[in-house]
Amino acid sequence: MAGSLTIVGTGIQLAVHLTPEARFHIEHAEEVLYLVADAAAGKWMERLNPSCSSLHVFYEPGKDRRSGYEEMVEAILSRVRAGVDLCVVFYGHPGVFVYPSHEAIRQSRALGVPSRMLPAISAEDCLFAEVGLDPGIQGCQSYEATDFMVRPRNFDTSTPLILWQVGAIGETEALFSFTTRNGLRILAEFLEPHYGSDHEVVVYEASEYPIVNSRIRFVHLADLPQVEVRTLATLYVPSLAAPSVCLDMVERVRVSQTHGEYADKDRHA
Amino acid sequence: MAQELADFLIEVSNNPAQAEAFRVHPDRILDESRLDEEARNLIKSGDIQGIQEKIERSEGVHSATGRSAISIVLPKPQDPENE
Repeated sequence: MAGSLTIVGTGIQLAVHLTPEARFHIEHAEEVLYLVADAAAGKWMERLNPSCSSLHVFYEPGKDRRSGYEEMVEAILSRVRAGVDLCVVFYGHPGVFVYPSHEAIRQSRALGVPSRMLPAISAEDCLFAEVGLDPGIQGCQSYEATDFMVRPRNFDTSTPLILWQVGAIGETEALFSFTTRNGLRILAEFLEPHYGSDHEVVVYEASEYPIVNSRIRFVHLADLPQVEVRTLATLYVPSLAAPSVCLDMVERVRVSQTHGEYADKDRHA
Repeated sequence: MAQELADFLIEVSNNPAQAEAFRVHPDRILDESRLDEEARNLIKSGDIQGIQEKIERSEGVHSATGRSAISIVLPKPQDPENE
């Protein structure tokens, strides 16, 4: 069996986030399958490689998203089994919140087919840049919003919290035309006992186009249910306070005392 | 003939210098474009959802994921951890 599988991501913004390496694989693949952010990105894919097909056909109103994903995996594998040099393109980072990409790579490798996934820019990467959060300062917790609530964790309020897809809480269908405020209300109620209703959070929506600004809104948790959000919105919950320093451990690892001072300074900057 | 919004976005996005020029002089770039009034207003107002809906209407087919069809990870119904 010849052929190969390369899975790449477009990044978040049309064209400008695509890496040269990913573009090379799209342009030189025998066939391309894509699942991208919007119709403009789909049109652009078809210009990069005319042998292009959209995986969007596996999304249907009323259909469970998971079954659509399984059909995407099979569509990918059927081309791989046919010996095609295939490139599959996903929106954002192909390995972040993309079940079909990981599963296709796993199954393709099991068939002995050369298979690679290339990194790309995710919504979280955009948030780090545009909101000014540096995960190196206080760490970072990152969860899918629905999963975060249905599988409660012992999360840490002294560490920044990122919740993905807050505009799609509880949604299981592949296509839905509006976001529900009910999900945001439940999320706010879930977070308020930990942070307080007046804790300021950031609703972040990365722009898909380099000529349109991202939406960054600062709101109190109590006001979160009133915010209009797109499905791909991300919520950034700043920490309540810097984590305490264990002086014994500082001594053991010989960390400079200024390390903690810098972390504090950066947090309040 | 008016320029398609998708074509304008692809053209500008593929030219970082033009994208940067747009950031500095958005009105001039839009005035020089052949976009219709609705498209110009959508870009000026930063209405991404409106932009995507207009593109979907003009392209006729829903050829991409669409604004709502993002990859969403939910726990499996039969997940042993939840049993």
